[in-house]
Amino acid sequence: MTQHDAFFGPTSHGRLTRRQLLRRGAALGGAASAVAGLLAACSQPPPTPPSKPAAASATSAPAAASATSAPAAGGATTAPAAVSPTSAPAAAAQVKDGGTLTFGAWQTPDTMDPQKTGLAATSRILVQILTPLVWKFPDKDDFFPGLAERWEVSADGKEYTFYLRKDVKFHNGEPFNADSVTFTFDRMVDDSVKTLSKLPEYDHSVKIDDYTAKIVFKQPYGPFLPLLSATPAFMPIPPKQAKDRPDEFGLTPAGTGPFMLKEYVPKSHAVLVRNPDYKWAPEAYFGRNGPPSLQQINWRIIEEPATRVATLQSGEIDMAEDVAPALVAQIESDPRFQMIYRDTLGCPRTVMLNTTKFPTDDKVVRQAMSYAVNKRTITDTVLKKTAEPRFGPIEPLTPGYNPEVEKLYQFDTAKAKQLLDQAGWTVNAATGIREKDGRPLKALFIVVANDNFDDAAQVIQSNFKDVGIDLELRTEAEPTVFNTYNRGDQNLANIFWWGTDPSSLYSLYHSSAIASGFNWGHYTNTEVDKLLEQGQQVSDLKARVPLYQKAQTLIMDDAPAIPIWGKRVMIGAKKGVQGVLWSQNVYPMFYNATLA
Amino acid sequence: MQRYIIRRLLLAVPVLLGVSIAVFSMMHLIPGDPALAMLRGQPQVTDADVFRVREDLGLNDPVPVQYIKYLSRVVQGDFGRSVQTKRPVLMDIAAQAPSTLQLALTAVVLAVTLGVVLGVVSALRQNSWVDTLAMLTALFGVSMPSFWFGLILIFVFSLKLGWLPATGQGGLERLILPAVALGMDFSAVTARMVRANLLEVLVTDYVRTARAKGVAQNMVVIRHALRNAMIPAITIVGLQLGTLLGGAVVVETVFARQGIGRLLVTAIMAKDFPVVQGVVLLAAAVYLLLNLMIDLTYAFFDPRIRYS
Repeated sequence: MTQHDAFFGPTSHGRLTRRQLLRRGAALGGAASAVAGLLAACSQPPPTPPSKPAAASATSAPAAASATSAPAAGGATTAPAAVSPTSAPAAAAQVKDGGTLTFGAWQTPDTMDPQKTGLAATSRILVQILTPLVWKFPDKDDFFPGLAERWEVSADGKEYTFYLRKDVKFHNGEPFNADSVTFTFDRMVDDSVKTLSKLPEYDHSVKIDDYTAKIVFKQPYGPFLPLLSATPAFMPIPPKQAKDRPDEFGLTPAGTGPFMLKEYVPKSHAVLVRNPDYKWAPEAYFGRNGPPSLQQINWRIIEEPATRVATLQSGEIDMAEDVAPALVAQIESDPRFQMIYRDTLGCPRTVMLNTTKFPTDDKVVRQAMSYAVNKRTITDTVLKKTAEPRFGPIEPLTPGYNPEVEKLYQFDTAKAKQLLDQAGWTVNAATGIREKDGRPLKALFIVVANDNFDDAAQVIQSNFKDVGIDLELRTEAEPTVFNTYNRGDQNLANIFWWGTDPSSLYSLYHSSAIASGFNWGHYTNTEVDKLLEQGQQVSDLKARVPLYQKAQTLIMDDAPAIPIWGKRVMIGAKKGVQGVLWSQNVYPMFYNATLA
Repeated sequence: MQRYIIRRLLLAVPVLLGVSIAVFSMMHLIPGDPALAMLRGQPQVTDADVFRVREDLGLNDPVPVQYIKYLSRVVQGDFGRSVQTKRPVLMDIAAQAPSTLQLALTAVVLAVTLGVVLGVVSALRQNSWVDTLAMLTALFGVSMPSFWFGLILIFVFSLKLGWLPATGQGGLERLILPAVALGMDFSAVTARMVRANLLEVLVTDYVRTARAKGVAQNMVVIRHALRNAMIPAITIVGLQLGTLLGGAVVVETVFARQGIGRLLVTAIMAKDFPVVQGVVLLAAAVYLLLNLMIDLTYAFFDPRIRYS
C-alpha cells in the first residue's frame, strides 16, 4: 500500500458516501473556524508603546548613550532611564553575594582559545575571564593599568616595556609573570600552533626579568596600546595549560579575569563563576577593587531571536542579546524590563560601491547615489527609530572620527538628479531610467542574506528609482557572498565592521584588502593608502588623529561607500539588572553588575 | 540470516563512499570558504592574511587532492578538526549526539504510541466522531510546519501558562515540548497508516474466522489484525526516521537545544567542511543501519518472510 493510499484512505477509493463527505466537510469547517478563533484570542496585538518614553530613549540615546554612562568614579552624568544603566553602587561598594545572572546570547562561541577564535560571541565571554596588560575604555582618553602597573614606549615606537604586577595568579593556579606575557605574544607567530590572530608588525618579545617584559615590533605599530584591551588574543594566557593541555585550553581556558570559566558546553551554555582572588581591577575606572559582585553568570545560547525574547519575558533569563527592532516595542512597553542601547565603534552599516565596475566606476554616479539615499526613512521606518543615520566611514565614537563628514551627502534628490544631468545621463521618458551613450544606468546590489539589510535595500532601490537609477537586488549568503564580492560581480555590497580603532579603515579601504579581503569597493587611492599606513606607524593617538581625519575626508570625496546607519548593541534586560559597563567593543562588562 | 546481514553491510560501503564524494564535491565546488568570515574582527585584514588562513586549512590544494587527503585520513579514523571549534570532529559530534538521540527517541516513542492508538481507535470506531476527530488531528499534524508549531507551543505552554520551560536540555520537562513538535508529523502519518491498514485487515477472512471461533474482539485486534497491519506501517517508520533528522534541525534551533541538527546547519553556514562531511557520513551510516534493522523486524512480524 502506498503512502498516498494510506493517507487519503477511503476517499480515494470512492468508498465515501455523500453524507459522509458532507459530514466530514462540516466538521473540518467547524474545526478550522474554532482554531482560527483560538489563535485570534491568543495573539494580542502588540501593545502600542506610550509615545513619550519610546521616543525619548530612541532619539536621545545616541547622544547620551555614547559617552556619558561613566561609572561612579568618573564625573558620572545620569543617562536617561531607558538607556544603559550606570553603576549605581557608591564608591566603596561591598561585595555581597550578588546572585546569578542569566545572559541569553544570540550566537554560539567557536573555540575558547583567544588566539584561534574568529567570533565576537566568544570574545564576549573571554573578556570576562581575561585581563589585558593595559585598559582603555570608550569614554576616556587615558589608559588604565591592568596586568601591567606601568609601561614605557621607546622613542622610535618599536619597543614597549611592561612592568607587571606581582600579585596575579591564573585561575588554574599558574603564576602570572613575564614568561606568560612573552609566551602569549610568541604563540601568535608559532607555526605549529597556527593561531588565527596576528599582531601586525610583531617581531619578538624579551623577558627582562620575572616581572618585566618587552614587546618589539619590526615597524612602529600605533594601534597597539588601544588594542590591548580590545583584543582577547593579546591578553596573557597560562603557558602550561596552553602548551600541555590544548584541548582543555580550547574549551575552558584559565585566565586572570574577575570571572572564571567553570564549564562550557558548545551550543548550549557556559558557566562563569566569581574569582575570589581577583584584586587587580582598574580601580580608577571601576570605582572599587576586589572580586565581582555577581556570584555566577549563566551564559545561555539561544539562537532563535523570538525564543530569546520569549525567555526574557517568561523570566527564564535576565538579559537577552540582540533584540530585533520589531520586538523592541514589546520590551520597552513592559515595566518589568528595560531596553539598553549602546552605540558602537568601528565602521557603521555601509553600502560599498564597486569603483571598478560600470556604472559605479564613475565618481559622479557614486556621488549622485550618495545624495539619493534617504537614510531617515531607513532608520525611522525600517528600523523603527532604533538607530541613527551615519555620514562617514567610521562610527562617531571611534577615536579619530572626523565630524566634518556629517555635512556631506545629506539627502537631496534634486542634487542627485542635477549631478547626473550634468554628467550627461539623460532620462529615457519611456522607462524612467537614465541613459548615456546608449547604456542604461543600471546597477546590481548583491545583498548579504540574513543580515537585516533586505528592507533597507528596498528603500535604496526605490530612492534610486526616483533619480532614474535602475537597481537590481539579489541575495547571497555568507560566506559564499564574500568570494563574489572579491570577484567584483556586484556594484553595491553591504558591510559593517566591529572595531575599536580608526585602523579599521585599513581593512575596508586599503588597496591590500581588495583581492581576498574586505575592501569590497575595490577602492584604490594611493594617498589614502599612505595615510592609513602612516596612522599605523605613529604611536601617539593625538598624532594619529589628523592622519585619519584626512583619510576620512578623502574617502568620502571619492564616495566608494555610502554609510547608512550606526550599528548598535540592543539588549533587553530585567529592570533589576544594574551596573553593567561597556568595553571598547561594546561587550558587556559584568564586574560591577548587580541584580535587584 | 547471517549471510543476508553481511551482504547488506558490505553493500553499505559503496553507498557511503558515494555519499562522501557527493557531500565533498557539493561543499567544495560551491564558491566560498570560511577564511574571510573567520578573520572578521581581527584588527587588520589583508589579502595576505586571507591566503595564510586558507593555507592553514588546506584549501589552496585542488579539490580532488583535498578529497584524497580527506579519505586517507577518514579510513584511519581521523575525521579532522572543526574549522570553528578547532576540536576533533568526532568529539564535537559525540558531544551533540546524545541530545539529538534523546529527542529523537522520545519523539518516536510519543509519535508511534499516539499514532498507533489513534489509528486503532479510529479503525475500530470507523466513521464515528472519534474517527473524524482523530483524522482531523492527523491532518493538522501533517500540515503544520514544525517551526511554527514549536513557537506556538512555547508561546502557549511556556509564556502564557508557564507550565514548561522553553529552552535547553536536562530533565523531562525540557524534553516534552520539543518532542511533541518533532513527533507531530510522524504521529499523524503513522495514525493514518495504521488506520487504513487495520481497516483492510479487519474485513479479511482470517479475522472473520477468528471472531467465529469466539476469540474476544481485543484479542482479535491485537493478536491477529494488528500484526498484519503493522508491516506497511513499519516501512513508513523507517522512512520517517530520515525526515526526523531534518525536523530535528528546526526543533533544536527553535528550542535552543544542543544536537546534531543544529551542529550541521551552523557548520554548513560557516563552511566548516570537516564537520559537515563528518555529520553527513555518520548520519548516512546510521540511516543504513536503521533500515537494515527495520528490514529484519519484518521477519518478526511476518513468519513467512525469510532472509537468505
